[in-house]
Amino acid sequence: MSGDASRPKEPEEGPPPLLGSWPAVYAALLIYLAAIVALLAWFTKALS
Amino acid sequence: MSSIDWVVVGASLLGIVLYGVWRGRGNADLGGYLLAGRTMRWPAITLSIMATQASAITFLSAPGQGFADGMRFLQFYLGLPIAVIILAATAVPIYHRLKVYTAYEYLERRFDSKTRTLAASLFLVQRGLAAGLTIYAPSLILSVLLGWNIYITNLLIGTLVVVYTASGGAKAVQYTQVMQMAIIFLGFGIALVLILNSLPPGVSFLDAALVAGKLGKLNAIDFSFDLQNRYTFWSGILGGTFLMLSYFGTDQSQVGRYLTGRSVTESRVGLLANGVVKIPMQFAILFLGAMVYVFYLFASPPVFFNPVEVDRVRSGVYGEEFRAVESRYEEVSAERNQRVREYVEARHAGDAAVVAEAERALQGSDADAKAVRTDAVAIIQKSDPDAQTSDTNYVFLSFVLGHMPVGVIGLVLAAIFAASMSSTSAELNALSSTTSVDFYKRFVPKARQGEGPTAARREVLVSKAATVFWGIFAIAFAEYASRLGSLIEAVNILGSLVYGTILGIFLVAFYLKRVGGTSVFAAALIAETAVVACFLYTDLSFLWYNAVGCLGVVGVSLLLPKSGMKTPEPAAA
Repeated sequence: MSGDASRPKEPEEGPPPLLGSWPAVYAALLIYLAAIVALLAWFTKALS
Repeated sequence: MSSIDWVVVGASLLGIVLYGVWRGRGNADLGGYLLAGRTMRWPAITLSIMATQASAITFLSAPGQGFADGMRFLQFYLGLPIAVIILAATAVPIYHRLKVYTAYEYLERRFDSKTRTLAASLFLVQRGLAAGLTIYAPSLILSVLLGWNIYITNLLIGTLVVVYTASGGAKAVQYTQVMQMAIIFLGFGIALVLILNSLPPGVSFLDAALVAGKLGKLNAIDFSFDLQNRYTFWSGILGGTFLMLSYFGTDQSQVGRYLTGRSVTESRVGLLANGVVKIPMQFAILFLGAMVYVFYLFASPPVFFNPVEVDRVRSGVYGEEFRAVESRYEEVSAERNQRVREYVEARHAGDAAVVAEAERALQGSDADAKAVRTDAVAIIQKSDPDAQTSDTNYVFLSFVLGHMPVGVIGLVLAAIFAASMSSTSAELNALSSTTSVDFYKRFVPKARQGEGPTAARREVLVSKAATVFWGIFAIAFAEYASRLGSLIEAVNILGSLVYGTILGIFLVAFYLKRVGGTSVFAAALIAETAVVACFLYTDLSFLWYNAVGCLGVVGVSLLLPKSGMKTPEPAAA
C-alpha cells in the first residue's frame, strides 16, 4: 500500500489551534455539552 | 409559485451544478478524486459534515416534529459531542496514519478480507437505499404540496447531483456543500425571522415562547428513564452516542469528509466543531416548528396538512363526516385563538391568579383542538386504511407556501433542494469510494487494473462509473419507494439496523487486540440477527438497536475462541 503512487501525501499530527493540548479541547467540549444540557433543562422548566 | 420564485430556485440549482463542475476539475488520480487530494481546511470539513448529515428530510420533517411533538427530538443529538471526541482521539489519527481511502480498508489490516467485505457490503446496502430515500423524501413532499410530478422531481434532483459528483468527486462535493449550507442558513434564517414578525401586534417573542412552552412544545429535555420512549436524555446520551459513533466513525459518507483534511489537526477540528454547532442548529430548526405552531394559534390552520389525503377523504364515502369534523375544528380553533389572546393579555397585566386561570383555559382549548384533529385522522384512516396519517412532513412547507412572501418561497425551496443535493452527493461519493476501493481495487486482478498512469486513470474512471451507477440505483429506488411514516425516522431506523453491528466491528478492531477476524465475523452475524429480531419482535426504541448491535459484537467476540488472529499487515487495496 505504501508503494501506491496515487496515495496522497501523509498528513502530520499537530497541536490544536486552541487550548494547548487535545485533552484540554476534549474537556472543553464535554463542559460545553454539560452547559447545553443544563441550559436546555432550564429552558424546558422555565417555559413549560 | 411566482416567476421570481422559479428564478431563485433555477439560479440556485444551476449555480450549484456549475460551481461543482468547475471546482472539481483536474482530478488525475484516486487520491484527488476520492479525497480531494487531502487539501481541505477545517471550516470546509465542518460545513461538509453538517451538510452531509442534514438532508432535505431534516429541514422538512424536523420543523414538523417541532410543530407536532415539541422539541424532544433534540435529545437525539446529545450523544454527538461525545462521539466526535472519541473519534477525534482514536479513529481520526488511525485512519490518517494508515492513509486509507475508506474506513473498511482498515478492517482488512486489522482482521481479514471477509470482515472488510462484510462491513463494506452492509454499508453499500444501507447507504444505497438511504440515498434513494434522500432523493425521494423531498420529492414526495414537493409533489404533494406543489403538484409537481414526483418521478420528474426525483429524476431532476438525482441527475443534477450525479452530474457534478461524478464529474468532480470529493472536491466538487465539499465545495458545493459550503455553498449549499450558505443557501440553507439564509433560507431558514429568513423564514424564522418572518415567522416571528408574522405574530399579531402585541404578541412578543417571549409571549410566543411562553405559549409554546405552556402547550408542551418546548420540552427539550426529559430525564425520565423509559426504554419505550424514543427521545429522552438517556436514549440520546447512551443510544445516541452509539449511533453517532457509528455514523461518524464507520459510515464512509462521513469518514470520507474528514479524510479530506490536509492534516490530522484539520480533520479533528472539523469533526469537533460539528459537535459544537450541531445541537444549536437543530434547536433552531425545531424551535422554528414550535413557532409555526404558535403562528397557527392566531390563524386558521387546516385540520390536516397533507392536501392529497384531505381531497381523497372529502371525495369518498366519509366526505360528509370529514367536512363536519373540519367545521368543528374551525370552531375549536377560533375558541383557542380567543384563549391564547386572553392568556397573553393576562400575562401583560401581571396578575398571577388570572394568568394561571388563562393558562388552564388555553391548555383545555388546545386539548379540544387536538381531539378534533385526532378524529379527523381517524376518518382519514377509516376512509383508506393505507392512507398516510402523519402530516408532520407537510407542516413547514405548507406554512411557507401559504404565508411567506414572493422570493422567500423560492429561497426556502432552493434551500430544500440544496439540502437534498448535499447529502446525496456525499452518499454517492462514499458509495463510489467503497465500490472502487473495497471491491474493484481489492478483487479485480492487478493485471487487469494496469500500471502507473494507466491504472490511475482507470481507477478514476471506475470511480466515476460507480458514482453514476449508484446515482441511477438511488433514483430508481426513489421512484419505487413505498409510503413511509415520518421520513426522517425511517432513515434513522434503517441506519440503526446496521450501524450498531458495524460500530461493534470497529470497536473490537480498535480496542480488543486479542480478538481475531473469524471471531468478530461470527459475532457480527449473530449480533445483526439479534438486531433484526429486536426490530421485528419487540417494541424497543430504534436508538437502542445501535447499543444491541454494538454490544452484541463486542460481547460475542470476547466469548468466542480467539480464532482468525493475524499479524497486522498492509491490505491489498
